Amino acid sequence: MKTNRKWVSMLVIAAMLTVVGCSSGNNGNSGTNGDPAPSPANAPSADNGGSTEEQSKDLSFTMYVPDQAKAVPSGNLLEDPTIAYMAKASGITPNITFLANANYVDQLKLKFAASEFPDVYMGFGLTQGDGALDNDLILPLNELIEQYGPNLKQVIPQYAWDAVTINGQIMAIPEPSNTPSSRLFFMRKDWMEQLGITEYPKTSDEFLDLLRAIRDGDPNQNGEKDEIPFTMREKFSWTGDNIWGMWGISPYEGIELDGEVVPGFLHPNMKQGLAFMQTMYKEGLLDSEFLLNSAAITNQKIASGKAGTWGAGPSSAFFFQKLVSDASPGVNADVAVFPTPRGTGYDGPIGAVNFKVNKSYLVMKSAKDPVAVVKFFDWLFSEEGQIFSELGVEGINYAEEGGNYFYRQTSEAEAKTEWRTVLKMHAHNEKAFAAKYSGPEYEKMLNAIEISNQEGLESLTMGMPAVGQNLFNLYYEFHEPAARIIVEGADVDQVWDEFVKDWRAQGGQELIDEMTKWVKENKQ
Amino acid sequence: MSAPNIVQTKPGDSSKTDFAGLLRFIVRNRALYIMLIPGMLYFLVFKYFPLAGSVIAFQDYNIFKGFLDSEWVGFKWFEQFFSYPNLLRLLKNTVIISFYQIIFTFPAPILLAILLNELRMQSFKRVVQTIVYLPHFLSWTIVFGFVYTLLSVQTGFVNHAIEALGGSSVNFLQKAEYFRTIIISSGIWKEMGWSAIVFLAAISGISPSLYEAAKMDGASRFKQFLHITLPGMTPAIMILLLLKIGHILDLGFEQIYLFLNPMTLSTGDILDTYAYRIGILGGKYSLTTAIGLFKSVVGLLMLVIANRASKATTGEGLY
Repeated sequence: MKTNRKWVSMLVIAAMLTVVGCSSGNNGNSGTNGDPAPSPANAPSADNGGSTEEQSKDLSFTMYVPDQAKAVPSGNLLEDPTIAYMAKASGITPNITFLANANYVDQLKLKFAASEFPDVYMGFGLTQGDGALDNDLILPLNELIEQYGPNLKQVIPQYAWDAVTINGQIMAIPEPSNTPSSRLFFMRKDWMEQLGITEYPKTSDEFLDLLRAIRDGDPNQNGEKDEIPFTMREKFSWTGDNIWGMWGISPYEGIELDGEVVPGFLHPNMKQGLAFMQTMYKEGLLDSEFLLNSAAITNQKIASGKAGTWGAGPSSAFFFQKLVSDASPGVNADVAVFPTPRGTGYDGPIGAVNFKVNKSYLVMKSAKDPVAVVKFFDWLFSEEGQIFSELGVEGINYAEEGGNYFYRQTSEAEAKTEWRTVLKMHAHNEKAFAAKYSGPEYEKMLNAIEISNQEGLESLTMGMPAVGQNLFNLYYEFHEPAARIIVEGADVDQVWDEFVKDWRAQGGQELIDEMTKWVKENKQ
Repeated sequence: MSAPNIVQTKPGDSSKTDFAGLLRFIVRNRALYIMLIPGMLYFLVFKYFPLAGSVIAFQDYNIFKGFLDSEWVGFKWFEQFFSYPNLLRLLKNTVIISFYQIIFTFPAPILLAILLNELRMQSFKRVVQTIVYLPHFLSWTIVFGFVYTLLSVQTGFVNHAIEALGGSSVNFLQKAEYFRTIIISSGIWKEMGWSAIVFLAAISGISPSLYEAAKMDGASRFKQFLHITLPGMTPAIMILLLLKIGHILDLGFEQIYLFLNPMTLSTGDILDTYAYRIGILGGKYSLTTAIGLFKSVVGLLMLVIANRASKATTGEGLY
């Protein structure tokens, strides 16, 4: 019985303590208790106020960026040599939080949902769908840039500002793209030469002929008919975009049709691309596994010398060359990008959708010191900042001698500095470019940049907030009828016209109206 | 699980109030009650509190406003879900695949456990058991890689074999008619060994004296299985079957999502993959929650019905 009483009394004491703890907390907040120290809540804020003045020497801000799926520094980030250099050179300390690259936007949303707001975070244009912009949490930067951003004003071209401006308000600091047309055709040029074809295909028909020649001519010379003339990735991904692009269509981007703004796949020209792919599949020119190819499988097909042509981003211009050369050193492989051929019977713009801005940084209204943020990004656009973001820190990633930079690519992985690409904000710095790439790599990269600037499609809906697109899911509905047309050889006109009709009826019209309204209000 | 040694008092038996008696009862068995706390906390924190989050199915949920301030929209999301033109296809696929899982996937580990139990050589049994349960630790991404390597039209072993035998190759992974077969068989391959552990445990829980007695009476190996092993396993089988029925609309999103492509949507698109496409990719948390709620309610109904049926027929039940 004694032990029982002890237990009960302990429980009672515990309960009392809890109650006391709660009530005292309440009293402290409301301040009604006549406590001798009535304003504990005010005291720290006064301290803060004092310290901001001191901090004028020591500017800092918080920032969320994706980790680029690379190793990032751990522990006290301010001790990391790269970050320490950056803080010293710019005079501002960024407190960086790395979020996992794969689901960066989801993690941002989680942070926001938990009311954890950074001062600035990385986005992609204005359209990544984290919702902060639509909920009025983003700070317009016009005045700050005017006052504190001389380099920003000088280096960033108007088209990039336009991409992040809504109703005259600059909502982000953009990274202008030096490769606007976002996807290019790639091919094994050594195969083309092997087959006796001297010029890149200029029309869709010539392109078909090239694919047929690859199928029949055994350009990989293994005596087997195992060549895949054109390969692309699963889910009708961007790797096949240039096929629609021969007829001026980018499937998900807004395009004008009879006074409305519709997603590209609703435009009648989409059917030309579908019919083209149907022909490709029927004749064995399209990878028969185009609905299954993951990135790894696609790359393997390219590396093993099976794939003849494919689509990819301009920045991969040398990646595939290296992939093929490394996998088969004996073969004198030459991977080249080539201009998108023109679709038969079509004479508008061709290529893939233009991304004028790659990434962007959005400053939140809750930022304690937005001036520090703008000043920091202004530094990134200075010559010093540009060299830093591309080549890194002298002694770690590169050496300098007589104005020449000697850059060591492997140092990035060794010193865990690959994440630094999140800070590369300028489009092109010739000095850094020349230091990074040499020989064939330099030429291939430059060639891709040139072609990418010569073609491309304008999207009317670029910059439209994703959250506003209430019927976002409808974007994927076209995959099924498209696959049926290509694989089963269904009648293009019949299947597609019916799909378009159903799509509009299932809520698509609502999306079209929303897009049309947004374009009218924001782009015209 | 043997019954804990509870000190018996009879609350309300004496003249004291029921409450005091109950309190004394609790205090007397405090060790057990204290041990109960972590488990109860787990269920409260991770299972019951999140239930309240289901209210967002009836709201236009906005992550910046939270579920306290988001706008109430009634049954809007349920209406949108039920008016989806392909809803019937989704339900049909979900139920059919679930049904196949109960018919084919569920008995597989039971059979495996019984077969393993009949093995004489213990070392051989252990080796087999280890090998068949290893796939459980592979992720579905890797399993899909294996399946692709086997079934690819270009490089797949199976198609090479078909061609060598004079047939023409089949694009298994891009044909709707093979989808469910591939899902069910890869599911059996991956999980059969792991699930068999429960049944092996159930078998080893059967008292050897029963077998000895049966042998004395001249029961054959098969008779022993029929009258001792099988009845001994029935409680475990029934409980797992009931739980499976409760999850009738949960098929394992990851596996199906990885195997699915536009050509197989017609036989493989299920509620979970639809919810993922529409909800997570489109950021529609409220709609996905509504779909999840719908699934849970259906699952609960199925569970209650199946439990009643099971009690009436076999006498076994979850509660």
